[in-house]
Amino acid sequence: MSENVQGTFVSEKISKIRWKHEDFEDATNFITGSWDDPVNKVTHWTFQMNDDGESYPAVVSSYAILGDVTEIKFILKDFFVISTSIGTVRLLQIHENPYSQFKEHMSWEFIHKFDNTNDYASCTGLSTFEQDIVSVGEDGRINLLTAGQKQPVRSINDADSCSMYCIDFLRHNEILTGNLRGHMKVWDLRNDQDLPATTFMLSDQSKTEATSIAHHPTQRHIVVAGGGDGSLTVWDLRHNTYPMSQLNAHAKAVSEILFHPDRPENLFTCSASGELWHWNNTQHSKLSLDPTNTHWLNTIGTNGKVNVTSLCSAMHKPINSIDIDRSTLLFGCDNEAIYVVRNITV
Amino acid sequence: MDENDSPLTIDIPNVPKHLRITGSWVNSNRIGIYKKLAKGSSEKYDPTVYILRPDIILFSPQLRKLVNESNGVFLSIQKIKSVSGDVRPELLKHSKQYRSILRACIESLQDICGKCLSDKKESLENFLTIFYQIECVWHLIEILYVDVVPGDVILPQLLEWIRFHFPSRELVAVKILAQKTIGADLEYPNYWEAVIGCALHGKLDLVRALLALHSKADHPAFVMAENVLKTMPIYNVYGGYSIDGFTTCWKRWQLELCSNLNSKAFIVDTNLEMIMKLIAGEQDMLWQFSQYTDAWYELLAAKLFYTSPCCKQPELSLHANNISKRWQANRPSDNAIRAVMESNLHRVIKEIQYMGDNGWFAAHLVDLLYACGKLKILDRDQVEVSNQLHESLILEYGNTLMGHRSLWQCGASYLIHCPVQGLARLEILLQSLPMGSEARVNKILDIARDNKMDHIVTSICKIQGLKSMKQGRLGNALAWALKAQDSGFTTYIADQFLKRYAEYGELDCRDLLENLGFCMMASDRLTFLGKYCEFHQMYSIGEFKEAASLLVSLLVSNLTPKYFWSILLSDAIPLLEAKDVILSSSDCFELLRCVEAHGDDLKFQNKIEIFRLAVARNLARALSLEGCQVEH
Repeated sequence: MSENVQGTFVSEKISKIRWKHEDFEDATNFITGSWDDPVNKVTHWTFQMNDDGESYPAVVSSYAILGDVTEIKFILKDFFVISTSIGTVRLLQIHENPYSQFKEHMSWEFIHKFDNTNDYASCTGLSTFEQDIVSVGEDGRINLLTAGQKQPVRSINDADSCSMYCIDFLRHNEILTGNLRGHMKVWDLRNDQDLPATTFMLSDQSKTEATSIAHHPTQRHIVVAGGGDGSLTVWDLRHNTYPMSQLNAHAKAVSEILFHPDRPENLFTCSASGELWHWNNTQHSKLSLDPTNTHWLNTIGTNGKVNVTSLCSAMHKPINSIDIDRSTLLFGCDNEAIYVVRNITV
Repeated sequence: MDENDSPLTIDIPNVPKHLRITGSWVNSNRIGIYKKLAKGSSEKYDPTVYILRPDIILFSPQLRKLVNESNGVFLSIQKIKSVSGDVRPELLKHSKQYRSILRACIESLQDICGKCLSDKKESLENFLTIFYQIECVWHLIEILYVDVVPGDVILPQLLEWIRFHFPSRELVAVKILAQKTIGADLEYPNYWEAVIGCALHGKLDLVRALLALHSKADHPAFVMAENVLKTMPIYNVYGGYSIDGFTTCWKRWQLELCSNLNSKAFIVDTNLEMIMKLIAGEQDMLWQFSQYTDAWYELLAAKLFYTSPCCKQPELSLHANNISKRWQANRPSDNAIRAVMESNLHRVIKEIQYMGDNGWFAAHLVDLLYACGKLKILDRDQVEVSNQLHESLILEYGNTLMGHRSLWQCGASYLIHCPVQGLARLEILLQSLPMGSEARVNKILDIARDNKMDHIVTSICKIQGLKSMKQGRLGNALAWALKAQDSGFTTYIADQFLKRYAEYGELDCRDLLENLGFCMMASDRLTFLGKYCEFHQMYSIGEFKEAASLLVSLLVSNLTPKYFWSILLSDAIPLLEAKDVILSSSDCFELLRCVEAHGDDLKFQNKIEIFRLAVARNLARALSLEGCQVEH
């Protein structure tokens, strides 16, 4: 392990890890969610100094969760939404006074379930746009929620006949979902019919599941999706649904894709194979001299202009989640540890 | 195992004397116990089942860190094994990593122990004892087996080991020295205890510094003691002289000290005299000082230091035996340490299995020694069984972890490295894991795929498919069947789709069926279903020509299931009756042939007349049209 990587063993497998971003300074707090234990936890962490002057993550408070934590997303500075494998979505707040704890503001219980057997279904992912939350699950249902309202705003019950695995809010009225078969569907929320606006494939050659989606922070029509086979596919949804580029990246399923929020020429991906990669196009982004003016992601597969570096030696267990704040990246792994990677050049 | 092993006894409550109990395995580490009624017994049947499982301390949250962190080191050692060349320095590094993990574990246990309430404290203190002992034994084994000791003279490392594990008296000494008060013996009641402790550990510089603070430090006896200690020859491999040369020099020094003792040079202070006697190597004095030691091996180190400073590993066992016997030491760690010194690894491994750590120590240690090439274990018939022993310990440890709801991934990575039985064991255990969400299932599948267990992948996918069917999700079931690449199962599910259509007249999961792509070829029935779905798609968007040709190709394909013929034939009627001529004359002949062959379905009886009429009319139109086209 290289010098700038610091690991902390936490006695639970980490499914999600998210910075609590601050406005004008480096983030110092983050949230993790665990999975696969009978009772899992959402934990609030901060950094403390030990006797040797090293800063290390320390628990501030934690909150027991039934089922696995499957997603964590902040909607405001202190407010975040979590989803679980028992089909529940919760809105929690990091409360500081009188002492640090979590406060539950809203809970949407069992909004993902199998109608035939009345069993709960795993809520596999959620995405947020300001106060709006949209969740998908193994029941093939899309739920539209809004932070202040107990009842779902809308449920598209038979949105997909397969389990849905990932979702992304592209615009306030448009979402993109991916399922077990690698079907990508764009949904226009203004449309009352429960049908997708467009359907396209993650990959024509191999029918693999879509495991994660991310959009470019400033050009929201540029979308990257990861597959169960470790592939990455890029689309420009303005033009058509034919992929701009497609490449075999990781050895196993892509767990998460993350654009650097302030420097979108940096992309981070992690995988069930234990790899953590940094895709960087810094030198070509500032001044675009390319006459064809194609987007850098357009060419990641074909030319050598994009630097791909491994941020740490491969883990021997799946890396499930990553998040970055400025130059500090966090990742959570199935070896029951969280890692901090400092001083990443972005 | 030995004959004198006493098995653990557990009382099963509420079982009358005359009843028998019987048990069966639930999974690899659970056993179900229930009462068994004799035949014809009038006893009422009692459905209670008791589940017994071993108490596994490794599953407690405080120790899961140790489990996971050491897993990383273990896997890294497996990588080294495949590297050629001298791997010993690398392995030593890994051994130290294991120990630092143990240290961290002990420290965090101490931390929690200080904060928690008494009921939990007991178990935590128990953990602490276990891991203290493990670390102590590990350290010694590292010195004797993993590290390369220059010149094979082991005393310096042995002393270091002792000092590391029994630091308390040296800490007292440092505290006294820090005050720098002359007459420390008067001020500190534990002054002599500290001096003796340091002398036993061979910390002569500390002894000298302490003596210098004695109230009578200027007395000739103390000055002489200082001189003796200063001139004591200490063996150093790099000292530039041979062992023989050193021994002569050391013997001369010892003789001089003895003569001083005989002339009662140190009589001014009894404690001082006793210490000088110890330094001169007097056995009795050693035993008198045993009250200042916590373990027999502390005394052993002192004995070696003052009587045979050039002791090599083979001679160690004799000394160790003498001392431990007289000490009457018999904790598992005592036995283990004695066995280590006797170079009896077989016994070491046996003893460390009694330490109550669920096999963590044995598995990791044996693996390390195995990697070092130091594991040579002979069984009763002098056959080498090192490979078997290595494998069985790791297998057992991996097996234990696989029994945990969350640590199964970790367990699997041990099983994978058991060359003989590992994969077979993994195969069985993977299938017995509870499934849960699809995210979990996908991770289980990943492990199966990594180890090329295709049939496990297929069987797990099938289980998922069946589960989906029970939930009424045919689409998801089909997706899993395709993942399983099991054409029989795919056919079965495709049949379900067609039967539902036959019954309710509606095709489910159109979004999936319309986007099957080349997966449609997975089975004939699925091909039929996919094409039939395409036909509906074409029909609904008004592409009748396309739809008709699809329909005809389906009819001639011979893929049609028996119960579906009537539907397929009925579907043809509106196309035959369309305003434009869509079906050609040859298509009509095909249709007629099909209706002759398959039109006897009861459900079709009321339509057969219409069908024939429609074909006849279409044939007429088609023939005249085709005739015109030929003329042109």
